[in-house]
Amino acid sequence: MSGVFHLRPEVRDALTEIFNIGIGHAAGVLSELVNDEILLTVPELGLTRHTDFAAIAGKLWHEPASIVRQSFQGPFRGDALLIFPARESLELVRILLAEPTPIESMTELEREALLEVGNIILNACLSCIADLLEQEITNALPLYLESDPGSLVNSLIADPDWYVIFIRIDFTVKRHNMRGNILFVLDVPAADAFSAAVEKLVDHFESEP
Amino acid sequence: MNGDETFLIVDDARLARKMVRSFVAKARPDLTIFEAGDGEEALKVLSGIKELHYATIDYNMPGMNGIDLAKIVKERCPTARIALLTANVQAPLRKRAADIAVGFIDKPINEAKIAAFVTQTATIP
Repeated sequence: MSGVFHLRPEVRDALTEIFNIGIGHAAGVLSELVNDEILLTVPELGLTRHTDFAAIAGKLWHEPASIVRQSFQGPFRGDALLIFPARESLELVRILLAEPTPIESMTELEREALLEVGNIILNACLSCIADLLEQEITNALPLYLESDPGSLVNSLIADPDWYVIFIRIDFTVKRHNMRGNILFVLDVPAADAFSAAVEKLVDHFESEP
Repeated sequence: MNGDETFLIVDDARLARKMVRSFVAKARPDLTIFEAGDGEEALKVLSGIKELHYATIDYNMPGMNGIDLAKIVKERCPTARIALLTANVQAPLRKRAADIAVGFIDKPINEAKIAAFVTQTATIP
């Protein structure tokens, strides 16, 4: 079995902290975009085989979601997903476009707006993680999808041994009661390379006085 | 060598505590460093310290948040130099810290940010 399932508690803690920092920066960007405070929960790290992920996804999302998918490459490759319940993504777009009238479905312009928001947020998160680990991560163009997250993750997976690193941070846009999640999907070598990079960082500071 | 001045690190992430400890030790090897993983533990540690000189406090922690803890620490140790150390870099949170005369250091931290804080050259309270 891969090393990623045998993380020392301090490496697991560090993984959570690294994503916490990345998502904290992403929330800063989102806060500026919507001119509102973003409330964040304490992050929770989940690590599971993708075959077990559908059950987890079913408990977290009860309806189709608006998803921005950002594939990344570098020392570890994978996909970062920004997930909003579909109805709440419409609300977000409405705030961004300053559109006062109620909208029932998403137009092309609105899709583009959400894609751009997702691109900015996920880039803020990935750049911060890359800097912390002193690695370079390159991003593909973001894609917008409407799907249920469990099915999407399954469609990204080529191999039953792939992992889903699931960082659950619920964020709420304070005045608009809007929430979302960020999810990272890595394959086996990527998850091992990622945890090795984190282990190196931990060891560096463990060896300090 | 550790001296009489004290530094309290409050963060639920062990990595963050280790990093702050390492940078503080480099910048000010004379400081005696204490650690706590949340607000409740911080208050226990604080009750055992004769005088607190510096503290960095994370914002998003289980239990009490960093601002509420900073208010209590400031009340108990009015002369201590305190900074919120957080990845939550939003303007409203910076303002809440400034409103209670608490500094703000954004994560990820590095040697320079911590050195500025403990050598009192930063433009924070």
